[in-house]
Amino acid sequence: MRLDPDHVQKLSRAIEESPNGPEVKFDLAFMNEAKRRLSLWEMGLLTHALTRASIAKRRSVEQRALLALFVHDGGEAT
Amino acid sequence: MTDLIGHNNPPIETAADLPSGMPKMHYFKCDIAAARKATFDKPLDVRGAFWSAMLAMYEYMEPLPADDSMAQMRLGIKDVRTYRAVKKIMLNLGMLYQLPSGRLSNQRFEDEIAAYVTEFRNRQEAAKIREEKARVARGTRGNRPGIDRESTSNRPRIDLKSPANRPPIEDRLNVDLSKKTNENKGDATTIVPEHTPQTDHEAPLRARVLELELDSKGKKEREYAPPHTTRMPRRDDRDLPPVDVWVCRPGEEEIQPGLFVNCNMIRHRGFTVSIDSVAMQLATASIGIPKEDVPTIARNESIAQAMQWAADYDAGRQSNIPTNTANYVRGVVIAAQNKKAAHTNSMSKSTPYRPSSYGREKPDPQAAALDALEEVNRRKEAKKAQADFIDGTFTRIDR
Repeated sequence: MRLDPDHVQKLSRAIEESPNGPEVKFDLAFMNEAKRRLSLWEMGLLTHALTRASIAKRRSVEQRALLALFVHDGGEAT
Repeated sequence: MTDLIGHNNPPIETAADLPSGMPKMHYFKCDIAAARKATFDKPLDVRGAFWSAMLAMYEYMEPLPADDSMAQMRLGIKDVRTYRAVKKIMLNLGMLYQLPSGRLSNQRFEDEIAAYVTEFRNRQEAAKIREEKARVARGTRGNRPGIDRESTSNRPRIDLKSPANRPPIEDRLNVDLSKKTNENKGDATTIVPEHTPQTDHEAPLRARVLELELDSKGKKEREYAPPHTTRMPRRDDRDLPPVDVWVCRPGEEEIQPGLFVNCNMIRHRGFTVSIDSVAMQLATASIGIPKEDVPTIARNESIAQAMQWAADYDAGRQSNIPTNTANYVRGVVIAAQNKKAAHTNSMSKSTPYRPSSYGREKPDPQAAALDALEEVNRRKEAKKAQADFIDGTFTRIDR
């Protein structure tokens, strides 16, 4: 699958590599909306999927879509 | 005990302790390894509760409230007993800890908030320094030695009332401009007195002095019209009584209070409609309206729309009145005509009858049954006549 350069750039801006591992910038608005809609169990499932997608070496399309939805690229919010 | 935020500042327990004017956070950094290490062996609902608690703290930028019902609402948990249960689990597992005030907090959250506040303060300080430098630069420019154009003390004072400062204009005022003085050509060019470039600089001053001279003679208004043209009397000059134009004139009919119609115009205080304009637009629109029907349609539609607009105007809804009334009426008529044509086209198609088809006459079942019975009887009689003919007992009746 050929990846969109904008998508790759967005993920690279949102996921910073540090000595302890990756640090991901999560969008508060989207995460709060998810918290409002999901139950505790579903919220745990979502965070499990997000953390697995963040540390994956080769991300699947589902993981890419999930990360693209919930990460923040760190720019100034509009 | 919480960390100190910033330099020698008290710990932040509520959002009120944050610096004023600090914007809300739009994202938070999550250390994935630490988060997985803290939650990988926990049930999914406990993980969800922990993440919900973290999100609530980041959203409100303060630790979770000590009040269980308020904290439960912030976490989005519907039952307070559920919240108390997960709170107990999280406190036991060390995911959250309780502040002396009873609030629940997390070390990672406090580090993030501290970093955010520090960055905000650094930016604030940088902006203050930048603004101070810009202010100093502006002040330096303002104090440069030179001519201050805004200062009135630096302007040369000219006493207009002093006759010594007035230029000699009396000879120029005495020039008869109405007389043609150019003998070389037949045009109306006037010869102005010669002037030097130095005197051109005094032109605005001369104009001002000329104006003052005219005013001092009691002439309130300057005459720009040449003397050979007659000046039309303006409305103010006419000695006419004020006319109320919003009354019914001869030939008009007041079809609604304040709405007057004559043969080619609809008048109202808020709008006018030219019936002739609408009729001409419709006549040239080629939309299939017979030529003889155009004036009637234009008049009726214009009056119908005008009555509604007059009612809107009286009700204070002037925005409902279109800017170009004739165009609007034309559009309404054309739209209605197009709709009618589309309906006619749809009806002319040879489609079989369906109960849902609009406009078709539904067949009467009783009449259909009678028609079928009649057809059966007719066939029976024909068959009987044929049998009689075959039997050979056929008698002519015309003899």
